[in-house]
Amino acid sequence: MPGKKIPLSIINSIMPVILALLIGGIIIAMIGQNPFTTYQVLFQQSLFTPQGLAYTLHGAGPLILTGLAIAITFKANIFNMGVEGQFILGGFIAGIVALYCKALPGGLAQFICLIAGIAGGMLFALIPALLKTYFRVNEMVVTLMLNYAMATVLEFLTTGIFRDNGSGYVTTPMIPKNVMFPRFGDTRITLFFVIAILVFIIMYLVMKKSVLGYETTAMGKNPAFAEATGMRVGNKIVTLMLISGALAGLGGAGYMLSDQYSYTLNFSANPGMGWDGMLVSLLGGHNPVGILVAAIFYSALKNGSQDIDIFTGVPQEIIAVIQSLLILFLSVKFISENTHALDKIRSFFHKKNGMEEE
Amino acid sequence: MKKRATSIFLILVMLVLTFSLSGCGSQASSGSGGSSKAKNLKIAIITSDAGRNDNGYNASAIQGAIKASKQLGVQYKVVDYTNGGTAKSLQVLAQNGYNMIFTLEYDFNALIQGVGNNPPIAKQFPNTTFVVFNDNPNVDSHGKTLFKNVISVMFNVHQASYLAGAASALVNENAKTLFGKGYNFTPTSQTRAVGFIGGTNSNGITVFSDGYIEGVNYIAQQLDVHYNFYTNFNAGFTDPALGSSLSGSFYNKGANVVFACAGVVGDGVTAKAKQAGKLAIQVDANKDSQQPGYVLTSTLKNTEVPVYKLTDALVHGSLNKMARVQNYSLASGATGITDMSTLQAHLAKTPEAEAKWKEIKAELNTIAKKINDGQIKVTNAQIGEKFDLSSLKNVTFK
Repeated sequence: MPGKKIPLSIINSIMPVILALLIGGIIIAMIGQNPFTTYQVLFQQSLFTPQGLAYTLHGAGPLILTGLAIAITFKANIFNMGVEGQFILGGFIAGIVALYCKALPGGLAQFICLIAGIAGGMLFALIPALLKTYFRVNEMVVTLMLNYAMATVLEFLTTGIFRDNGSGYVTTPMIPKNVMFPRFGDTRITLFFVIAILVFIIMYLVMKKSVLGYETTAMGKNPAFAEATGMRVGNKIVTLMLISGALAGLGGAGYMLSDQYSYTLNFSANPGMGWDGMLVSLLGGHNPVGILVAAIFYSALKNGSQDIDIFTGVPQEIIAVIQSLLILFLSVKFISENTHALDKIRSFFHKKNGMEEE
Repeated sequence: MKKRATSIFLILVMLVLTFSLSGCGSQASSGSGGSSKAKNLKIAIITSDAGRNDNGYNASAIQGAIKASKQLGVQYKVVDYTNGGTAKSLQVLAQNGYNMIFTLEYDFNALIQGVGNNPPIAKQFPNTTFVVFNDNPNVDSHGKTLFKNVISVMFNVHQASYLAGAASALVNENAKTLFGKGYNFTPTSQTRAVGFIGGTNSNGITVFSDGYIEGVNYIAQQLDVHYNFYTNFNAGFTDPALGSSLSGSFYNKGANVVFACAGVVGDGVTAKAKQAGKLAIQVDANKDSQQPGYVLTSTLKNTEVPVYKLTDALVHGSLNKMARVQNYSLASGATGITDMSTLQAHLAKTPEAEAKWKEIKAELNTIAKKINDGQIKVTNAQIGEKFDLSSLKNVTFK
């Protein structure tokens, strides 16, 4: 049984990718461009040049963290849709704390900023967790809505109190140079990527080997049964939300210190890193290793989109098309899980095959 | 089962192959005219977040590049702004031998200051000229130019906004004479008001509102009347519905003209103007025909002019002689207001209206002249000039 299940989950993740690339290719061909050259440019520039690969890995850092943040709650059947809000809050706090760390040595300053970002993410995730545990408020709705509340609050703070008055556009002041994560040599990779990988390893152990990971899966399968066996589900919800918030906050803080360097209204871009993390997590089947691969793949897509624009005649919007197709095909998987449509088709073909053989 | 899936997949791949044979790749486009030396020159435009199809700011810059490629023979490339910043595009373009790169988004950290432990991009590629817009980040704390290969382009949109303000007040005063059926202006006997909707509270936006209200004040002072000024600086740049509801409340309070300076939010404002039977002012490109007859004018920021002019200087080798900060004034044609001909076609067909319209246009020309020769000084928030509220005796901020 397990031997049969693993390939299926991989197919579930890879088929959407292949289909999305295929249809994307057809669209590129219809524009009058060569899809093979386009994809070649896309992946060659983002995965097979040292600089490009470094850039892709650098971009994958925050995606790994937001992806894990989504996965750990989704696995337990609680839905933290607020990763985006926790991410930008973490980034914002890190960016502000950094301004007061000018005199500290770099390593210490970075550490303080990351911790501040994590704390911000955790606190913000705590609100829906407590509401869910003690008042049975639907966490999906609360976390989803709080994203917008947070974006507006941060916009208010950025345009007001923490505004960089020397700049012609709305932004917080750029963080001091000693707090920025230095890049490794000529590449874009910074220490933050290493941190993201370390966190990934820890999360792998937590999700796969620890009691908490086991309980998470149990909760996800049947919360009532988990409660009946003596698990304190309420406590677990709070714990998982806190972990999720911490991961998102760390992602935001690291993104601030290694990439953005100041909080603008465009900090997490559109759609934000939190939402990208959701796609990464779905693509990776809520499995840590899957998330790692999906994050790198997704980052390569994002990274390569700029090169497509520069080296071919295909507009970079094609990447947005491919991303949307990915989401579409990923949702097909859910349809098939819930309606068993695939099984029906399969059994139909089986019957036919059987008849042919006869 | 498995075989069937593979065969379907193979068919699809072949489908793509046949498609791909019919298409052929195209590289950087280049025009037919120009010298052979110019043909080796490459320029690139990195658009702002609004993208290349914004019918305004970015689209005009691309027009400039197309014109340059046709007339001067240079090659050009348009790259869209990507989430996460322009740094990578700047670097890749410079590495690939682009001689001049125009970057239209506000994103200068990597270019001027350098981030991580990397040197500034402007320093890494001294032979590439970088052109930035709307701001001059290329100075140190003493105001000295940092990099010789960075040119800042500024538009004197405060002057254009001043004209738009004067036009608003003049039209508002004479609305009864000028407009016929289909309009529903609040009469000046009741109240006098104008509105302003900005995307965000930054110098790039307040430069418009400051100039605008100074222009209104200029006319109000001459007539010794009083205006209310309704503002909102938090509309963002993406939600037309918000523009519609905000401007609706301004129109209800008696404003007859609302100036929108907030990307596509302005599209909602012009739509609301038509509903309310009043007027709106658009920004960046000539969008007078968006709701014909209900858009008073557009405050132009014509990026085509500097793109062409700087490319021309690049081709003729005179780039180094130019100032590192290029100011485009009313006289340059890169900024100003439209000729309002779209609105003119919707005026009442009476001799009085015609005469009044002529009078207003003449008055506006006089004001433009006065601005050009320095008789009228307009606050320029873009370069950090502070706006003196007490100078506006005939306007109340609401």
